[in-house]
Amino acid sequence: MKTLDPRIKLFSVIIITSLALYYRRPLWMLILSVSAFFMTVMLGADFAAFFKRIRRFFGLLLMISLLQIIFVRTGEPLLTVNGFALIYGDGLSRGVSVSLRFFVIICSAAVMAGENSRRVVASLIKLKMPYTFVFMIMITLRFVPVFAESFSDAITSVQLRGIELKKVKLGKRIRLYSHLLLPVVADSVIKSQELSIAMEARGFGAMKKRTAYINVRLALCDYIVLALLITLGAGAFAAYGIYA
Amino acid sequence: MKAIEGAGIGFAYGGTPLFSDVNIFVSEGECAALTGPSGCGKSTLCYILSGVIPRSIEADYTGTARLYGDDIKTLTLKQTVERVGIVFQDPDAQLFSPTVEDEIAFGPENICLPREEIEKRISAALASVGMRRYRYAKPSKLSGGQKQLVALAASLALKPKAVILDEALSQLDSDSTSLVKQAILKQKAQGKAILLVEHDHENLDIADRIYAFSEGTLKEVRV
Amino acid sequence: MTQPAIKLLNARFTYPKNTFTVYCDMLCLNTGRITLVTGKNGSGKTTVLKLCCKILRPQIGSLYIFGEDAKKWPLGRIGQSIGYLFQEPSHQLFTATVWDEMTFIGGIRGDDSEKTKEKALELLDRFNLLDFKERSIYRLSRGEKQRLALAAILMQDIRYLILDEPTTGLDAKNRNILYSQIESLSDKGIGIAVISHSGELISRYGENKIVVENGRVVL
Repeated sequence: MKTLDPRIKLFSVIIITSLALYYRRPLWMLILSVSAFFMTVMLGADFAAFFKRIRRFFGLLLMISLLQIIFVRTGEPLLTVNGFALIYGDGLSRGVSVSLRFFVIICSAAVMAGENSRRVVASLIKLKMPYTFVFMIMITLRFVPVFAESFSDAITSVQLRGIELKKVKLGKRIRLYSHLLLPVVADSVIKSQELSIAMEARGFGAMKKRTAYINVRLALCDYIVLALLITLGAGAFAAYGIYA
Repeated sequence: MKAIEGAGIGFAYGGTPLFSDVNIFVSEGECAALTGPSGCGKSTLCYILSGVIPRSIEADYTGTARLYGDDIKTLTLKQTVERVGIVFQDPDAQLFSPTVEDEIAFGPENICLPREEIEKRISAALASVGMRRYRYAKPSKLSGGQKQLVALAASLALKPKAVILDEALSQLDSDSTSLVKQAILKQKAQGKAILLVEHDHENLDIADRIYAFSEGTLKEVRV
Repeated sequence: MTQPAIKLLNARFTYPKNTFTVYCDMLCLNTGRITLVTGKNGSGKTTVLKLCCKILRPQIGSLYIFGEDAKKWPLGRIGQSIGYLFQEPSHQLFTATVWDEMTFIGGIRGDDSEKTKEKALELLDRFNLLDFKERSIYRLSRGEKQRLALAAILMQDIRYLILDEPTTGLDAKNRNILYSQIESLSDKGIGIAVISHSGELISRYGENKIVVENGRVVL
C-alpha cells in the first residue's frame, strides 16, 4: 500500500477530510477517526513520527476544543456547579467532534507528509495542473519545517544568551516569541528569494512543459483502491444523510 | 573564444555606485578567479554574468555581458542555462528536493530532456563530485560541504559550457575542496570556462588568471 | 588542579532514524586556552560541541560544566557561562538595530541599568561597531553581523566560548579581526573552542587540537 500512486493517496485524503467536515455527530466522527487511523497505517504513513513532530500544537488544539465545550450553551446541562450549568450536552458534543476532526486532519496530513514530494509533483502534473503552480505549493510546504526549525533555533539562541525561559513571566515570554517572529520570517523570505533564483538558474520556467524523471503510473491496485474509495466514500456520505 | 565576457559593466546599489567600467573575460578551457574584500561586488558581478540580474533580481547594469559572443539580455532562459551554470555560496538556499537524485534531475527536467538522458546525467554528475553513494540521501541531512557538492553536481547536470562558482568552496574541508577542485579541473580540461569567486587565496592555485576588485574597479593581477 | 570548563563523558548521540551516531569517551575543554576542533565535512565535530552545551542532549553520557553535573541544567543556565556562536550569525540576531540587539536580553530581564548600557557601549567599541549603533542589522555585512553576535554573547559574563566555523564567508581583513578578537578573549581567561576545517585556523591554533572522525572523538 506504500507504493500506491500519490493521486490515490491524495484522493483518499480528500474523501476523509471532506467527511470530517460534513459529519457533525460525535459517534460518526469516532467511526470516521478510527477509519482514518487505519487508512493512515495501511497507506504506510509513519504516524508516530508525524505525531511527535506536531505534538507541540496539541495544547492549542485542546484549548480550541475546550472553548467549544464551555461556550456552546445549548442542549441538556451535563455539569452544574452551585446551580450554574458549566457544560451543556451540545457543547460537549461539539468539543468532542472538533477534537476528532483535528485527529482526522492529522491522519490525512501524516499520509501526505510521508510521501515523496517529487512523486506528488509528478502526479499532480499528470493531472494537468500547471507545473509552476505545483512547485509553488511544494516549495511552500517545504518551507513550513524550515520556518519551524528557524524558530526553534532562535529560541535556542535566546536561551544560550542566558535566558531561562521557565523563569520568564508568561506575558514577557509571549512578547519574546512575537519578537523572534520578525527575524524568522525575514530569514524565510530571504531564503525563498534565494531559492527561486537558484531554481531559475537551473532552468525552471524555461519551457511550457517539463519532463518528469520520476514516472508515476496508475497500476491495477491503484484502480482497485480508487474504486473502493469511491464506493465507500459515497456510501459514507449517503449513510450520514439518511441515518444521522 | 571568450565564453564569458563583461565589457564596461557598472552597477549601482540604491543610487550608490558599487563598481564601474568593469572588464572581464573567461575563455573556453580556462579558469579565472575573482577576488576582493567583502561587499565589493563579486557576487553582483557573477549575477550579471550569469543573467541572474536582471532576470531573477530586479536591477539593471550598464555595459554589456556576453556569453559566447551573444548579449545575455537577448538569450532565452534555456539558452542561458545551457551556456552558463552558477553555484551559490549557501547550499541550503539551492537545495529543495527530497533526495540528491531528485535534486540533480531537476535541471535536466526543466529543459525537457528524455528520461534516459536524465539518468545518464545524474550518474555522471554524481561521479564528477564523488557523491555517488549519496544518490538517495536527503540533502537536508548532509553536511554543509556535502550539500555544496550536490549543488555543484546539480548545476553540472545541465552540461553548461561555463560554470561560475560564487564562493562555493567556502564551507568545504580540505578533502572536499580537493575533490571539487579536481572536478573543476576536469571540466576545464573538457573545454569549459570556469569563473571562481574566492576569498581564500589557497584555493586560487587552480586559476590561470586572477582578477581583483579594489575600490570599485577590477584589475587583472596575474597572467 | 582547576576543573575543566566542559567535560563530556561516555557520551553517545544518535540522530533520528539512526542516520548518524557520535561517540565521545572523554572530552575536556579548559579555560584560558584555544582549542581547535577539526575533522572532515560530516565527521560530527559540530554535533560534539553542541553536546557540550546541551543544544543537543546525549542519549547516554554525562556533561559537567565547571565541575557541576549539568544533567538537569536548563539551556538558559548553560548560556550564562558558555557562549555559542553559530556558523550563520543571522540565526542569533533578533532585533532591528545594533543597539537593540545589545540591550535585547537585558530588556527581557528587566535590566536597563546604566551599568548594562555602559557594558554594551564598551563591547560595541571593542568590536568596532560603535559607529553602527543605530544601523539596521539587515544592512550589516556578514563580518559585521558576526562581530555583533559575538558582542551580544559577551554581554553575559561567559567563561567559555564555542565558535562554529567562524571564518566561513569572511575575507582576509575580517578573518584577521576575528583572530585578534579570539586571542584577546583568550588572554582574558575565556576558554575558546573553534570548530573548523580551515587550513589557516589549523596552522594558527592546531597546537591544542581535537579531531573528530566518522563520529568519534579521536584525539
